Amino acid sequence: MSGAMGASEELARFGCGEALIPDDVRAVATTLIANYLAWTISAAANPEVARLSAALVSLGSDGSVSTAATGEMMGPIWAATVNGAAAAIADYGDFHPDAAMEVGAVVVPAALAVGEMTDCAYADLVDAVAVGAEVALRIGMGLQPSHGTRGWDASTTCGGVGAAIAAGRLLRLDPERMTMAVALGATQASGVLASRGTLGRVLQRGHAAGLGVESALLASVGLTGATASIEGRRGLGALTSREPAFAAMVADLGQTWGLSDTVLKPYACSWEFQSVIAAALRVRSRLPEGAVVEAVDVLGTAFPPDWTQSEVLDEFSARFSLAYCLQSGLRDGAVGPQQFSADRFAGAGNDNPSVRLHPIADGEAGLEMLKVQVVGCPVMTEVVTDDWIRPAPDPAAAGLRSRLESAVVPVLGPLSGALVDLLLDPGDRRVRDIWRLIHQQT
Amino acid sequence: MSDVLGADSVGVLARLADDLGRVRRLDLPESVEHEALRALLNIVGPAVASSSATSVEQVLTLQQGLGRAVIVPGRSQRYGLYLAAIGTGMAAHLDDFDDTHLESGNMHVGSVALAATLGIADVHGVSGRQFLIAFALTCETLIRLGLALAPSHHGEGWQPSSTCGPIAAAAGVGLLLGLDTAQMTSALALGSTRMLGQREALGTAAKSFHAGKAAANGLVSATMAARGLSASASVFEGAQGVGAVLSQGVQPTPLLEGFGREWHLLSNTYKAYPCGVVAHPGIDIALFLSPSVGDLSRVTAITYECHPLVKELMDRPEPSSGLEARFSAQHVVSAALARGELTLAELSDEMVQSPPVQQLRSLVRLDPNGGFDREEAALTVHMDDGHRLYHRLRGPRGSVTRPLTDEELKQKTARLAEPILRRGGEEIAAAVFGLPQAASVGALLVALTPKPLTASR
Repeated sequence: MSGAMGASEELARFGCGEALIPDDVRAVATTLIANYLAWTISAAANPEVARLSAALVSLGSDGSVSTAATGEMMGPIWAATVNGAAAAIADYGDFHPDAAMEVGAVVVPAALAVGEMTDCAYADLVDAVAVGAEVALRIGMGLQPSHGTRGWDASTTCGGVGAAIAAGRLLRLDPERMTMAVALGATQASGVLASRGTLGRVLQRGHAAGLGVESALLASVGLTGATASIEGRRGLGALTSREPAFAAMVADLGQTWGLSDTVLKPYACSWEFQSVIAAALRVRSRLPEGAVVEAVDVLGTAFPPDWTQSEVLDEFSARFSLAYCLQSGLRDGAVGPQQFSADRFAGAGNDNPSVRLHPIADGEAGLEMLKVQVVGCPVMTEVVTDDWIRPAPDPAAAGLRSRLESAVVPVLGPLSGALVDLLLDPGDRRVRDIWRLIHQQT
Repeated sequence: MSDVLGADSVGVLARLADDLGRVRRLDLPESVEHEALRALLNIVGPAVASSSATSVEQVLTLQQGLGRAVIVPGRSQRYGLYLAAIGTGMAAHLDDFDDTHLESGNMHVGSVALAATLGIADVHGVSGRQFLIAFALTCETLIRLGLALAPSHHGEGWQPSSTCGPIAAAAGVGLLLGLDTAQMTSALALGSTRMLGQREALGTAAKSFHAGKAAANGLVSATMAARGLSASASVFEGAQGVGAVLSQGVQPTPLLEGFGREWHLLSNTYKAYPCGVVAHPGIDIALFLSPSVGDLSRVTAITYECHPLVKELMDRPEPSSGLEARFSAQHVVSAALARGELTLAELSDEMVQSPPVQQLRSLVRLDPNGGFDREEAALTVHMDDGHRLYHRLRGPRGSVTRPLTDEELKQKTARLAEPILRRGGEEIAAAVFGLPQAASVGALLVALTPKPLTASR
């Protein structure tokens, strides 16, 4: 930390400053925006998003900012709220292992709403997302691990502050007002992990995106909050973490980027399941054709208590059911958004093969081994590794294009190619160019 | 975390929703109805008085289309429900002249309850009695939530009115929307995940924003629930639930036991002075000693013996603004001693910069005494001739032991609201106390809207 400046103020200054953003960081931000927007559009027909939209409009809104899912125009706070929730429906976003955060679904919708409101250049949107996400991730890394073990959802608590930074940058806040945007975002930090597996998790992400926009807008007109909102004696750090590392939050700010370590989740479910699903799919690739899997045994150190919950009621609980995710992966060879479509939960439950958890030692939660019992075959084993954790793909990567197209084609049809082109290579376009394209269809 | 909270097969929020549904069908006991009316009368004064404060104006500039336009007490213009809730709650709490429920963690219930329920009562055309029941149950739920989280919640640094506010506000709005038990459970769950309010914000505009935003978050939660949206019904309990993240000792008994039979609202108190309540005993003493002090330049030291919370919450020897001065024990005692009263004028930015008050403030030394209770203080004024003025007091004006009378509440409201509304205090009080018989809240809304200026001939 430099001089007497606290972490809150230093992060705020970084948020509105002119620090050089490396190309690889901008590439990650571009990928996050593209991925986020594609899955927001994919929620176009989702009834929960439509209900949310209707509820918010009834409380007062104008029509200046787009909602990707419903096609309605709203005020920027509500637009960010709706888009943030819509993006979280598919649960197919980004993840940062050290911060335990999915930062894109909160920071991107906030930046996009203000970016459209101010008609900013797409390049400025990318910078705002890069800086906002970086601040959110740094706060998250500084508050973890106890932040999460106590029950806070860092994606929303820290994400809301990052959303305020991203929105504030696009509003051209000066350092003093950006510090107030951070303050108003930090004091509204909310969202708990107990919401996992329910619609509430989706809605609290939308809420975090909306409060980020609101915080920046209020700061822009002069509303004040605490200067030391993060590091203060009664601030975000002290109240939500046992050992907040404030110095680490600002160390090498602008020199090293946590955002570079952000990954895109390969499977559309809880990030905690990604490694074991990858192992299950490796086993599946070795199975003889027509093989019937009888049971799956997962060996690991202490499992989080909610992993033993097997009741699958809907798409939200399915994403947090290890049994459901493994069953889907072994059956379909994929755990993507299609495996969680609502029609899969209309009939009888899917309960084969059985999935059993075997704690093998005390210690931090972690997975070690997968044993798959197949009728007529020896037990197949697979070591669980973290090799799915790779930097988010460059916008030019082929896999990213197909991922985006799978989201938008069902909604936008023939316009999809043009939108994906724009998202992956925005050039000197402006944010409103995206919406003009989307509105042609929706 | 209490075992009870995690083990019950019926969740805490579902039980609360069931209780709310049961109690709303009953008439409020006479004493509770009267206290609810007192709480309402007390809060409309501060709400009106600060309705055009700078920070409230700043929030209301976010106006983005009206939707269902409703009033913000003290203002002529109407606003969308969401923004009106923020503006109303913020104004009501801004001067710290509202109310306090001590046991639940210095809870200020009136601002959140008024902001949550007034607009929706207007939109849905409910009767005065229905509005009053929703207002009373919002207050009661808020107090009980605070008791369930106490004492560690407030002590750690949270502002209970706004952390618990969204849940209680969701309850009040849900009652006015006629939510069934399942919908109400969803509303409470959605409100639970929209908490806010860190005490770091004391002395800034964000503190009052907390109150308004808590009400607005509850409004959003209940509105979403009415549209069929939900959240985990068990989000409040469990090892990683809302209760656990907000308190080290959360327990459901104070929240649920005797709901509808025993009313904590009856021990709510109404502030006699516009500042942090823990300094009110010191202010009372300063006002008592003021006539005896005479020449302020002869004061050499002021020893303020107080409950430890005064130092914890209000040790600000050099406040820079009126907002900060509301949480400066040094300022409020000095201003009361110097001026012989402690009104909004003594907490203005100008008064904070006044040289005589600054000089007196610099002489105040806080002396926390663990043996004092919260309503106790002693003040010693040391004069330059060695003479000392001393007074000790337990139970200041506006406390549980010395509550403001109905007449004092009417005077407080009139003083605060008359200049802005251009209406007599009697009209405002009549609109409030007439609610149990009123077919709608219309008369109250009129009474809280400024009377148009008539052109002089």
